[in-house]
Amino acid sequence: MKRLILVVLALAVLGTASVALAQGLGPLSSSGVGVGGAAVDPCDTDGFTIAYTTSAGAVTDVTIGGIAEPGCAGGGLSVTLTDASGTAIGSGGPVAVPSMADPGSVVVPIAGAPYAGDVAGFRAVIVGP
Amino acid sequence: MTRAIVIVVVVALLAAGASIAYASTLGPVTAQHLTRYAAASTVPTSSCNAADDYDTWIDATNPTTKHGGTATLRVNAQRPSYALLFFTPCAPANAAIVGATLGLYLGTSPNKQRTHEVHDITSGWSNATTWSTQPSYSATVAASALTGADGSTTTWDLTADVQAIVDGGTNDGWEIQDNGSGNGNALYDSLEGATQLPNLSITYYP
Repeated sequence: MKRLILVVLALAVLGTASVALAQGLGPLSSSGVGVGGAAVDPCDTDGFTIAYTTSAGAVTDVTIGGIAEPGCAGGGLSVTLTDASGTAIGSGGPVAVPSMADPGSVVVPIAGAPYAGDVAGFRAVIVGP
Repeated sequence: MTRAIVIVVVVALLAAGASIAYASTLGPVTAQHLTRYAAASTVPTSSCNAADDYDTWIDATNPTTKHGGTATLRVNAQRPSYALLFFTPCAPANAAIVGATLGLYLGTSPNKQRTHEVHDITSGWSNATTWSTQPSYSATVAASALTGADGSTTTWDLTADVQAIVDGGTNDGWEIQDNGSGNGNALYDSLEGATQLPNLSITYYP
């Protein structure tokens, strides 16, 4: 019985030490994951351009341009179209950013068939590389 | 007591070994960028405008006379005269029409301001059509506008009509009538006119 208590006690100490060690590591700031809503270590720092392709008045594709290369090659590009109130009305991606000349552009198919006249803005996100 | 310590150490080492073995299966933590950008942006519209394909006017007082080759289109209530125009909209099929405006140059205005209505023509016609052979038309007013002075352009908003046409609806053109009574002779430039051709201006999303 005494041995069993010792074993349990040892495992508990080991577990606590592991949690304490993990907490001591802090956030993974060096990985480039966003903190507090700001982009950390972005692959492109001067923004993107956008061009629209429509069919019957609905946006079917957007072309995101001004993508920095080779920094963004290998990342996944996603786009959200928003209306005047900022509400998402269509989205697409992720689409892999290929290796291309700098600056590059990528076509992203848009789901949701938003009416072109409702589009008031866009959000583009590249995760990685 | 020594035996117990040995057991604890062995258990601890086994646990640590298991943890390391599990961690090694997770793979390396790779560095990853996150790039975000947001901006205001609207989809630009396209626009086009074109003259009509053919036109004429029909005259109740001369029911068999053809006016298809004249330089003006007469609209009059007292001596019933209607202008007939056929346009092929320049917007592509299934486009989303943002605006469509019919414009006619009013070379000679009526002696007082009149209201001119546009009606959809509902059967075929040509520029050889006369009052006696005139096409049928919808009683519904598609658009109406007040006439201006000599040298002004009268415009009608035909957005809904043009949307229906590019969506595949029937297009037999439009007829312009004076909705009042009394004399008031309006002369618009026709396709053969000298100043400004009849024009259908369209703004759309392809």
